[in-house]
Amino acid sequence: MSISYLIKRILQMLLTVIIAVTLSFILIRALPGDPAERFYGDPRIPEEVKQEIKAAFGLDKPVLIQYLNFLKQFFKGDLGVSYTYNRKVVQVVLERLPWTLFLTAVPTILSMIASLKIGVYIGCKRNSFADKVIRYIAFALHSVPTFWFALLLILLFSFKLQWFPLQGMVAPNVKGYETILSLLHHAALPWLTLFVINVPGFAMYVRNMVISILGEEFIITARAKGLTQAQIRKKHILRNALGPLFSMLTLRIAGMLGGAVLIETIFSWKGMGLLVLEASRNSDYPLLQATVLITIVSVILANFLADLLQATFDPRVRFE
Amino acid sequence: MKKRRSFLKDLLKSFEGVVGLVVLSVLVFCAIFAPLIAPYDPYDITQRGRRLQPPSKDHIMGTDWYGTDIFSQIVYGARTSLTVGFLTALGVSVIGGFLGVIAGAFGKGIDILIMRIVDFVMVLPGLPLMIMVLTYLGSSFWTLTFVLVVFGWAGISRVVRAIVLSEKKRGYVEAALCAGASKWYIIRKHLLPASYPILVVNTAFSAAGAMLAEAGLSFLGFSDPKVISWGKMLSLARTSNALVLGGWWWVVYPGLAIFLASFSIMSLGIASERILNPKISGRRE
Repeated sequence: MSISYLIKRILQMLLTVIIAVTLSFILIRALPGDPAERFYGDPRIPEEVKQEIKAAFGLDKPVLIQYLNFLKQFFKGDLGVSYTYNRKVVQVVLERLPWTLFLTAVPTILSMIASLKIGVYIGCKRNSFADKVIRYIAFALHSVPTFWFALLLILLFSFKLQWFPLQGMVAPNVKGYETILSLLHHAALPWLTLFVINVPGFAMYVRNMVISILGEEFIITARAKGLTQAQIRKKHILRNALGPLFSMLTLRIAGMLGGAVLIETIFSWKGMGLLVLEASRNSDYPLLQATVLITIVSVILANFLADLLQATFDPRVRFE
Repeated sequence: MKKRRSFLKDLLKSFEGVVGLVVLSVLVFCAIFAPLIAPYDPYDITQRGRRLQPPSKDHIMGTDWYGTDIFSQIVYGARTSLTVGFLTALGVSVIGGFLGVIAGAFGKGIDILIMRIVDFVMVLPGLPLMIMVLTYLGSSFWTLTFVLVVFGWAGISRVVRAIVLSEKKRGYVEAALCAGASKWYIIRKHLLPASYPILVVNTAFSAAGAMLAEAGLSFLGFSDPKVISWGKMLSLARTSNALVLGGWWWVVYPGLAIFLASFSIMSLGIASERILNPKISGRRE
């Protein structure tokens, strides 16, 4: 990978982050129900105290100075203090981040592997019976609300069959390696939900990629030089479908990290998604803002990584 | 007029078209004639029965923790879901379509600016942001529709722009330019009509997406406190521990309604896509 490509992407990423921070700053000031106003808006608070509070939060300065301070603080990792936790919001959020990644990354990777298999299989057998059936199931799954699907899985696996726990992350009173087993046991249902919901979109994307790859001349060449179907699949189709799959991933990351709110709520999984909801219910504005902002930054970072992976697998991207 | 009739005929010939049309018609019928179809008025607290009754002759889909008839709530809930879906799709198509046409038609700086905004909006994690905005604004029917439009228009504008760009290269647009037609005239008479088919299809997909998103937000508690919606029913079911209490009917039926509503509109979208744009038929899922 060329250095100039890397630098270009890093600069782009930084710019996107700055825009996100800027918009977040504007949003908070443009929307009605200013949290600071609520804080010092109480008529019983004397005027001098109000001025002091304003000065303490830097709200007495011009908007531009406030904005620059906000940017500076963001890059220093200082996004204020949570009302409910009484700790720095960045700390609270960063403690939750790994749990959300653990919850979303595993089913994402598994669904990518499964969709590669399914997509290549039905793509090579276009319009066969299997292709039609899988396509229709994938189409129907688009309309299944993720959170409802999770509830149905709970109904089946937690209540009827009693295979998996209803919610939570680790069973109480477990120690040592049993903690890990318990964690996996608790993660199974949310993983299954995300896996099933993700596969259709990915698989259809791979299928369409495969169909367009099959029309390329190098496939004809490969056939002409006597490669078997299995060899063509492995060497030419799979390799060429991998790059675009990562670009598909970049489009889905936002939805996945954002959609974690629903899954985490249903399974009481203490990740960032649940934190967003908690902060919203408690009117903990600094925490809410920081969680959303850090989610956005995570999405941007994940996109960057997916782009790098795509560039590794698909040299064409690097030379665009 | 003749063209329109043949479109409907083609729609009735396709499997997805018929399925979509039938299911959607039933739902729309329910929404319009809700007071006549629903056996009880779910807004009237005097018409409540015993709590958490399984499906029976009196309550074909059972009752919830408050004794309200589930079937009646689903019938009334169709009003909320379909209206949110319709209004969001309308808003999204108007804004996305307009910006897409402008970007494609004017090109250069305007195009770059609009497309950069589109790229940015597309990577935003919608749900947490919507929650943040709704926390500030308070959730009502209108604020919900508003956030769905604000975070939903980007995809459409990108598609419309692509259509406009390819249309611009065709001879008749250049001919119109040479004949002295103004830019706005060409946009109105040529470029916009050329993107209508794609706009129609994407409107259908947006409507389905909006209904799913509305259900998700309502499920998380961001719903209009004054109206019944399917997502809100599921939200109440979760907070009242319906599954622990054994009330599966309270969870299964509202979700089924959300699925059917989204599925019927998606089916119509897919069917019209095949009719309006035969080139890509079979390529999409």
